[in-house]
Amino acid sequence: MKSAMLGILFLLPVLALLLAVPVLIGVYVYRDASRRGMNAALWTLASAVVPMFAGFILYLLIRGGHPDLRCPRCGSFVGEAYTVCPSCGARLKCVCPACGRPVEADWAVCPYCAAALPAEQPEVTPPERPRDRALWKILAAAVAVPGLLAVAAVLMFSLSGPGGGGASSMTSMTIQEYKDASGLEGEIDSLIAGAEQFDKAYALRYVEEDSARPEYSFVQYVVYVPAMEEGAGLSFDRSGGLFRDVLTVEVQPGPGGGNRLILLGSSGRGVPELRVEYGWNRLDCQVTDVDVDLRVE
Amino acid sequence: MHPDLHFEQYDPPHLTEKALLAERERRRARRQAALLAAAGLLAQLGLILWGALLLRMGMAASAMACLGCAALSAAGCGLLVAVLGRKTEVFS
Repeated sequence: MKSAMLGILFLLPVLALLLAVPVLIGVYVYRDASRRGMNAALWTLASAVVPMFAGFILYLLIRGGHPDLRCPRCGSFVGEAYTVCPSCGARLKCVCPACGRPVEADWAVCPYCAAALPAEQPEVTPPERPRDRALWKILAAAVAVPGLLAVAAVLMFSLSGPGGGGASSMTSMTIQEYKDASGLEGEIDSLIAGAEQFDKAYALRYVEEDSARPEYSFVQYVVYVPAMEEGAGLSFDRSGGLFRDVLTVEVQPGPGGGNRLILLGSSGRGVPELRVEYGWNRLDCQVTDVDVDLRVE
Repeated sequence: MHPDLHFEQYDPPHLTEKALLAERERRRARRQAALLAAAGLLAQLGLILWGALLLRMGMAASAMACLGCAALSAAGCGLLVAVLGRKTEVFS
């Protein structure tokens, strides 16, 4: 329960940032939809709540049918079909002299009454569409905030060490030495017999849970790499992965030939994934869980 | 061989300021939609990454966040259906 509370506290700033964008979008859509005579409340909710900005995309595509136009003389909002501005009387559109309906300046015939339109129409001041600078700012925020959060998450992954904070150790010995020390002849024989491919790593794993802290465990690996030489250089590291810790063993090719085993022990939160790298190549690992302690004295 | 293109035979398409403005609006809406789609994908990626981080902190917190996301998605889909229903007058 304590870890859940810690997680929620840790996520609060992230949640605040994630919520900021839908709130901005909601405020913008409410104002814009109200001006255009659309259903502001419904569009605001849809734009702010629908995941992946799908509601907002839909709104931007649909709002084209409800233009927000302003009178170029007095700046008041006018409808698309208005021929004059109701506030200042400015002439916004040409009209048919016969029926009085709005027509376009380049039309030759009125589409409503079929009367021929004069070639020279009286001077009109067509309504203007106001520049929408707020939308581009919101779009920039909609790209920047998730981008920043994704980068922050990747940084957190790389900065956060292993999830447990426990210890790890590694040693290496020949197959016979390990058999003599552990008495696990049958398990090791079946491990070696199952190692059919030279470019793979084969491992036995034993997981011992910590009775006091169920999420913590002590994990032992016995790794057999058929390609590993007698004098190979070995190093290992436990680091944080995307979903769980990773226990990486690096084998540097060396001189001689021989069958050796790598013994790994690691304690911490969860069971780390085993990763074996031989030179620059990552080997596929075939891990078999066993229910016997793999430690040697 | 010289191709005869008959430039004088056809009139160029009739362009008006209104048609050009409508085309500009259409392209602008397309750009905005593409940008928002990219932002949406980025937001999902960020959510997945933060969800994975949360998973490392605790199963309970992760489960609560998952439930929250699922509830939000369901509410969003319901709203979208309501909006489209009103727009197409299916539910009226």
